[in-house]
Amino acid sequence: MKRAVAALPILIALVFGAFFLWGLNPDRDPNAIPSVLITQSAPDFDLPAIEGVDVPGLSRRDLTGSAEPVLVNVFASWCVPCRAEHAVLTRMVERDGVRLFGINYKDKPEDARAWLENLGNPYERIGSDLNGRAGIEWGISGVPETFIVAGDGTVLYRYVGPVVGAEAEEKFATALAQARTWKGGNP
Amino acid sequence: MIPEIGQFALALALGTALVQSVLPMLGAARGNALWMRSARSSSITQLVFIGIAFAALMHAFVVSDFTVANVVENSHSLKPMLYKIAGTWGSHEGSLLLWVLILAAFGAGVALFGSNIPDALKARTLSVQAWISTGFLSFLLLTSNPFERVFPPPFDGNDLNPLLQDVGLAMHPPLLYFGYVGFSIVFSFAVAALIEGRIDAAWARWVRPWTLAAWMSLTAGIALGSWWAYYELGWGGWWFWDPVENVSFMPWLLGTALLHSAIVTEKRDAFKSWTILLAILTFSLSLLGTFIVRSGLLTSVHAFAVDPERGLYILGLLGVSIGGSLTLYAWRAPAMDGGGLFTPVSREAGLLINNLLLATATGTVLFGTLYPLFMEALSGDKVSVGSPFFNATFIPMMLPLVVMMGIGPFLSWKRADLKGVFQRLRFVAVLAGLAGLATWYVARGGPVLAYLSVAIAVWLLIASLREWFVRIRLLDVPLLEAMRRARNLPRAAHGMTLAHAGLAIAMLGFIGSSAWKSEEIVFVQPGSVIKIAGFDARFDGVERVRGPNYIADRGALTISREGEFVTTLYPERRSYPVAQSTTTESAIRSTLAGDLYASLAEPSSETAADQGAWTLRILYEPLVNLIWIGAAMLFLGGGLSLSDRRLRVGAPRRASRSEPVATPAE
Amino acid sequence: MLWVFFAVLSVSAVSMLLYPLLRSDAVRTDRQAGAVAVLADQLQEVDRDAERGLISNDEAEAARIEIKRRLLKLGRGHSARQRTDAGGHAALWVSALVVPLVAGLLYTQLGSPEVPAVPFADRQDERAEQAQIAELTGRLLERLESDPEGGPTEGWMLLGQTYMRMGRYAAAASAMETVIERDDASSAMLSQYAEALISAEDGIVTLQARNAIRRAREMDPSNPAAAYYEAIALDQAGDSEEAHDLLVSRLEQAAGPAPWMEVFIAQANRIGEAIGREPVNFDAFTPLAGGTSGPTQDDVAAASEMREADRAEFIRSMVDRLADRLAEDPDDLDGWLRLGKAYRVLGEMDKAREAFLSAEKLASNLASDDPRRVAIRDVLSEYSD
Repeated sequence: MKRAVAALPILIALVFGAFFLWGLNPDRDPNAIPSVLITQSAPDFDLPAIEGVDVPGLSRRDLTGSAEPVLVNVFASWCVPCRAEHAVLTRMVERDGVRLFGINYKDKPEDARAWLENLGNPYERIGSDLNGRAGIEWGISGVPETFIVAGDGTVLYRYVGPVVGAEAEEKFATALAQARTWKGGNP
Repeated sequence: MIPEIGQFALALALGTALVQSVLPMLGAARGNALWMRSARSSSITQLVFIGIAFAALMHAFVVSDFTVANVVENSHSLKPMLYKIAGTWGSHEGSLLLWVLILAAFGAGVALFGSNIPDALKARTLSVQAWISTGFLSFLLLTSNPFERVFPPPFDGNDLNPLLQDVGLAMHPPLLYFGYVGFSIVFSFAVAALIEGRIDAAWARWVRPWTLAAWMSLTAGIALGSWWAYYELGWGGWWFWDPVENVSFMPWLLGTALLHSAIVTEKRDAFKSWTILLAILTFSLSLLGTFIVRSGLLTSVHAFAVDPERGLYILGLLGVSIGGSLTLYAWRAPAMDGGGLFTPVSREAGLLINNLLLATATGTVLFGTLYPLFMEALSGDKVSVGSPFFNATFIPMMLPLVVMMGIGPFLSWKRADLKGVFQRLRFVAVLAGLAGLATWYVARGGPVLAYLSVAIAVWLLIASLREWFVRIRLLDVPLLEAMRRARNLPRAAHGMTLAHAGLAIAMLGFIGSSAWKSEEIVFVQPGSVIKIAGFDARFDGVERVRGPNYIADRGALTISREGEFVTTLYPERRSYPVAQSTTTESAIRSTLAGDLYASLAEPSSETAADQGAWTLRILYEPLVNLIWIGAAMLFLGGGLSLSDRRLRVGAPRRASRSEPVATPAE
Repeated sequence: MLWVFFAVLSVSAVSMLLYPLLRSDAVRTDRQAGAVAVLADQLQEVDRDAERGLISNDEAEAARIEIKRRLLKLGRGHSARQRTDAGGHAALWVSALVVPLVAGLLYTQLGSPEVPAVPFADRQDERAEQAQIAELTGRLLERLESDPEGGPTEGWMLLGQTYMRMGRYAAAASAMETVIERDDASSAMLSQYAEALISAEDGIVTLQARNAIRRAREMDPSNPAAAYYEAIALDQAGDSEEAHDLLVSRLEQAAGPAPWMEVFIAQANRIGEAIGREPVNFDAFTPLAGGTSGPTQDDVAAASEMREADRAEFIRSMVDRLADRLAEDPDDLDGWLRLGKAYRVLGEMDKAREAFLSAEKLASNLASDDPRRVAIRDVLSEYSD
């Protein structure tokens, strides 16, 4: 009995150790926070266009109605990673024919305009979220973030941070492929 | 050249640690005095060489030598000198170097000042200490070399983060590490005792000063970190149950338990295997903290850059040290015979309850901290455990503990006279109840638990003082006589009173600032008046001011109470053009009664800023300063106890062996 | 000097570790006696407490009895073992000497003794130079801006190039932007402008940069820089195949080895790896026909409109780069062959012979009818004549 009690600490320590070993798996990202929106309906919002940009504004009903899932990308001209991500998004639109919508988060219209002129505009529609309210509705934790929204307006996936680099792009592409096979209904 | 000298010195230190790991241990086993004595010189050698390496790295930071990669990444030629120096331990590599420096310092401390400790125990302890330093020095050199060079050097460094330029932050890691790593020597003592197979009163007494020293620095480190978060980060709170905070708090809780259980081992020869287990676990939790902070295992606001490979190496070190010591424990502990008997009402029993509560509380914090990991591993779900969990589990355990703390010191060893104790404490209980009621009368509102907690804190404060009065017979004998008695009391007794009273005072701070905290987040325009906790705060607008390397928007708030002017607060939002970042500088009016705390958030939108409208956050935190005062008392109480003469009683020198029961000099 | 320090450190480590040998009469303490002393102190404390009335006489007596019992038990227990102090000197010596050995081994793996320490304060010259350049560019900018005619095109380009070297890409781009719309804008200027834009965006090819590249290519389809950035743009837009094709076709048009080709090849291989193309190498585009009339002479001919000095410098720079690379990576047989041939074109026959000798060593395990081995043999036989 005494022996068993004395052996208890090492046994508990071993169990902890096993969890730690599992936790060190390099594919695991403890910071990945699942969005509260996942498999929920996209929030209601209605944003005007950016002044002087020739694509229209964005509201919730623009996201629905298409058979394919669409992307909603939250970006800003002051956000450095967004620049890096821009090329990737452009490629997705040009090569893969993805429909891309933008939410321009807390950005001055003239800055956003210059940014789009300089880098090119891959967005079908862009909503100008001057006060950041739509960002709150979507529950973003930073810029950029990209959501995959199904044709019925259900948010299927959320990617926090720029979709840049082979690993991130692959992860995102997998999510997009899965989203395409999604048949609706809440699990 | 100097960085290379540092590199070489570090390599020499590793070589020394290797030798020290083996030779003294063998010496103790074979009774070879020469080999045992080598532990002393090798401990000092290790400290000297790690010290040289640390100085070399610090020199590289001070002169901004950008041929050292670590300096490039963590410094900048324009940084103020203080932060260049603090940059030495700002990175993963540098902080690990500080870690091993402190490890070596504790080893050398025992070698130099542990003259009362028998040779064999000292040799074994220092060997175990060298095992730890071999592990961490090789980790440092093989995976995180702080002396990595770059040539040609880049023109300037990369780091000019103004948020990290803070005195509190600069001083926080060294103190915390001193505590964390200090428990290593206690661990080494425990493992040495297990190897030796002997734990008795003498062992407990020899370990005590080292436990106290580590505990004191950990207390100071935690308090300073919390102070920093409160005053500098502008978060408006002093404790967030963040994993990084928790991993420093767990060793503190368990270390506190260890301090108390070692007393029982010393006085009554009991709780022996428990004390040993606590010594092992306290340092194990410190190691766990190092692991969690550096492996990216959990989400935290202040973790180091994450590297799974490093994580794996530390996990290996953890496996060897914790696994090895606990296996040794499982093997040797059952052979330890129990000590003196005691009844359920006795000081032993009181300390047992204290230990059980502290250990359970530690277990709760550990469980809460790691629960997200467990859940993710078992079910794939991501959960986060925040303050509600900790408050709901931790506080109910602490309240009975504090009640016990009031009673414990009155209990005598073996068998206590409960009736007599209650008689002495009746009066204290009445006062405590009155204090709770008075709080209710003044504050009105707030949870019932808060009034109960106030009563319990007051109970502890008065009971501690009463116990001290009883000891010096303050009211029974003339004052002069009482003073004389107070002088003759062992310092440890004063230390206990001070520390217990300190905890009571800190507790009042905890309760006040969490139960009666008021917070307003409002949208203000010049002329707006906000009412908070009896104060009227008038927002007078924002002006742009220039600092040495920043531009700030400085708000002005005129504070008055019942029409009378109190003070003006100037919260700022600073933007640093070079570093391209913004910081929030809160303005605080600090009094013993509470802090009025204002911070300026971003302008609500670009257009609104033109009209002078801002988001303002105002907080009133009653009694919050009592926390730091209480923490200081805990620290000083530990210090008084450490200075107790009795802790230096030890083995007589061989020359005086003719008289077996030596009389230590008074 | 560094090694002297290392020696001093090592010697002090060894002597500190040997220190116990000197003091054989050092104070020694015994476990048993220590325990006894602590218990004795506890007895005294009980006495003091009893005297002060902190504990009752009964309690004190019970405590005294207990402590005394423990003292007795100590006496009965294992008594201190007899020590053998004599031996073990050899082990201490060995251990002490192991320390510098371990350190030396580690240091050879980790250290960089060749790297000097360069405190920031000692970099006055560098800083002064930087400051001077900054001042000169400032003055140039001022002059160009105040010029009523808008400033000469070369002036603006020089300013832009200086900014590029200083790493101020955005400033470089805006300096060049002022002149690229002018009539005398050349294809090279446009591709430099594109490079500045791309560098300013950390390698992202922006719309503006693409427009500049397009114009550069319209003006001079053979401009390698424009082709290169066009390929980068294509790759970033997802057309990696096309990007690869463009790089390879431009390489194929090359009239002999040119300094830009290595960059092209590296880029083509980077893209090729991602899309699963076979890697290309330098030799595919610089055919290895033996003899003195090598392709490098074609190259020289192709560059015939260059001025004499420019041409020599052009070839010289290419050869030097190759030689530097081979000094670092001497196992490159094809590289040595190219270097040898280049030296022959430059007329440096001795250096050429050395290069071919290096190549011969590497080629010694090739089949005897391998064309490279044949070529080496042919060339070296000329020397022996």
